[in-house]
Amino acid sequence: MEAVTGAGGHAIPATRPHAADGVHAAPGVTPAWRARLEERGLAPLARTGRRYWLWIGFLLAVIAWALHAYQAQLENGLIVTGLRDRISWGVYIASFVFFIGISHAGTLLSAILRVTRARWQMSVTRMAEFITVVALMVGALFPFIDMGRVDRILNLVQYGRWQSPLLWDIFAITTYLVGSTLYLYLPLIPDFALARDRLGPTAPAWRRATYRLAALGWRGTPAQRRLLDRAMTVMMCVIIPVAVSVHTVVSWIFSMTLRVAFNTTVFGPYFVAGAIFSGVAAIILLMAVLRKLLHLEEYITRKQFLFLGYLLGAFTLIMTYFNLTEYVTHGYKMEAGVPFHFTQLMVGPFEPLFLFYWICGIAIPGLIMLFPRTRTIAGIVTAAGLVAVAMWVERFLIVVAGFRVPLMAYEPSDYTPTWVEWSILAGAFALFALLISVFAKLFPVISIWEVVEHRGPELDEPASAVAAPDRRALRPERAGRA
Amino acid sequence: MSTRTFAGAVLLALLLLVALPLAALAAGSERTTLTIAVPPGASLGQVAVVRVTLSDATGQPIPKATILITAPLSFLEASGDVVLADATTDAKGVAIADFDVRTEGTLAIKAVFAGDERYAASSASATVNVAGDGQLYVQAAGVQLPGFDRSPGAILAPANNAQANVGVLSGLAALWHALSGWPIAVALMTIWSFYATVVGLLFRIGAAANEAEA
Repeated sequence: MEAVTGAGGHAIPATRPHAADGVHAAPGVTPAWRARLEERGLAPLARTGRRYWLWIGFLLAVIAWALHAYQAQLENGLIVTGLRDRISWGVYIASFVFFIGISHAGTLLSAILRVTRARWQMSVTRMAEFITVVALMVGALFPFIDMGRVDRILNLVQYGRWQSPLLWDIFAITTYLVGSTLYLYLPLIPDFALARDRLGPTAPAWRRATYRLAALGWRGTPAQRRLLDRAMTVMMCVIIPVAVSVHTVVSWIFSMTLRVAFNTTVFGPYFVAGAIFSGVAAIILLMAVLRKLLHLEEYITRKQFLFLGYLLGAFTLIMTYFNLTEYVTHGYKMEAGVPFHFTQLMVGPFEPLFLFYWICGIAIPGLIMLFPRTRTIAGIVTAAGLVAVAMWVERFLIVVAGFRVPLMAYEPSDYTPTWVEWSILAGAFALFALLISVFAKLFPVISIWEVVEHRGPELDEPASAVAAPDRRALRPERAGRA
Repeated sequence: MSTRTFAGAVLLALLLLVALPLAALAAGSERTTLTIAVPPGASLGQVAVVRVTLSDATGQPIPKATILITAPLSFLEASGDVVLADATTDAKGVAIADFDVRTEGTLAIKAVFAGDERYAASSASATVNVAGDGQLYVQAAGVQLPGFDRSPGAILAPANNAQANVGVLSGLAALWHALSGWPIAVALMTIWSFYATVVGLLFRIGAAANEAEA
């Protein structure tokens, strides 16, 4: 076996014996290919460059600014925000729904694809699971920030009612966070063992001790494999309904409120679909960034982008269907308040955002995925970026436009987020990026053992196909004939 | 007519102009007396009953008069007397009103008769000592095991529930109310038991490593 170098200060000797050596591997896996995969997968754990610390410093600076803004809010109250009694939910709650939404894609998609034994996704499941845990951690902060008096969260504990969707939401998010963390941890165990065995002695002692502890003494014995397989099967089956229930419950916070814009029965599935839509976009974006930075082009190929892009394209149609269902049913009945709501959305103050959502969030991504010429990695990443932004805008429209419809005969208020809200939002995105950056430094971003055992190299699509996209690459039998 | 006489006549006329209407008004508004009786103490959240008696200067009861029961209240920078209840006097000049006691401490209650063409206005005050604390608008909150916010016995004894006699749908609504909390609790317990199973499997993975080494 060749020696693997290139891990910066900490060598990764491939000749070091590892528990996973000798286990069955997927077709096409050679010792050299596997050693290269391990080197690529473990290199970020062993090597930390200057640019990484600069990036972390920048993120910490943004978070510090957000903390300063939050301190201003704590000292002066919510008066420093644009929130008032008539529009009391704004950027914070829209961002809460957005982050909880993108948390969906990770675990849900990973579980569905694992259950269906889709081989192509093995190299991206870890990233998807990262997104879930991190987005949940960030998203769950927003209700606390929105409360103004954060200590009043204790009222929910002391006086919480089973009948309240707010209480359901707390249970659902807590349950999902714990489940997602477990689901992230389980397939990490063999990779922790790999890091334990492969990382050189020059790696910091704390890091080696952490991997030793986290690996749970993994030796890859048949008994351990059986137990791990059983645990993952249990979590796969449990996490799917939990993930669906979480965003359904989030939607109920709106649809069980007596407000015209929220008075619809489709909110549950509509929110779940929107969550998967934005979540897939988040996975594509993270995949593109990590692929570029960590040089994972051999393992994250055009195929992963294309398949996730197809999912994104399909969801543009599903979102269109849900939106039209909502507009047509509301518009047909035209109950009191609905004309006002439609007017403000379509030709009123929210018109630019409304058009942005439809054009940039639905139409353009759909068209990008429709035409083979634009269905490139760059095109798919562009579509994902548009979808991610548009879905935040869509949540803003749901929340703010919904609250703007007057409940009584008073003049509708307006809402303009202040610097405090924008700063805290920037801090949340910085925290999201920081946690992802730290996770990528502590855990292999690719599930190495699963790629070795279940996926192997992309035999049907050479790496060169990435640079020159070809539809036929996905149809090996036709490509062969050609 | 001398100047002095003319000035005196004008002064007299002015006095008559002021005094005559006042005298007429005084003659038309009979003095009234209002007495108020309140319980000396009350518990927060309970209903307090106020008994008011209105009579004229001779002690005769005044029927069909509207009495307002008020209490001082302040909210942010606004303050003033807030009407808690109103009642009309009966043939004995008695009016009975009740109101929910929602403020802890000494509550100053005031009964007000605004007066009319015949009777002058009058008022009377009393204080009620309100004891107790707690959340007034939550009937049952928090986790109260067993049975959460309603006893499971409520399901088996619907006669205790006023809604149960209205109809099947109301009965189902009452049943759902009684069950509220249980579906969530059962779902959560199921999911978390799976989590516990997985954690148990993790321990077994660690134990399997020790066995392999042994």
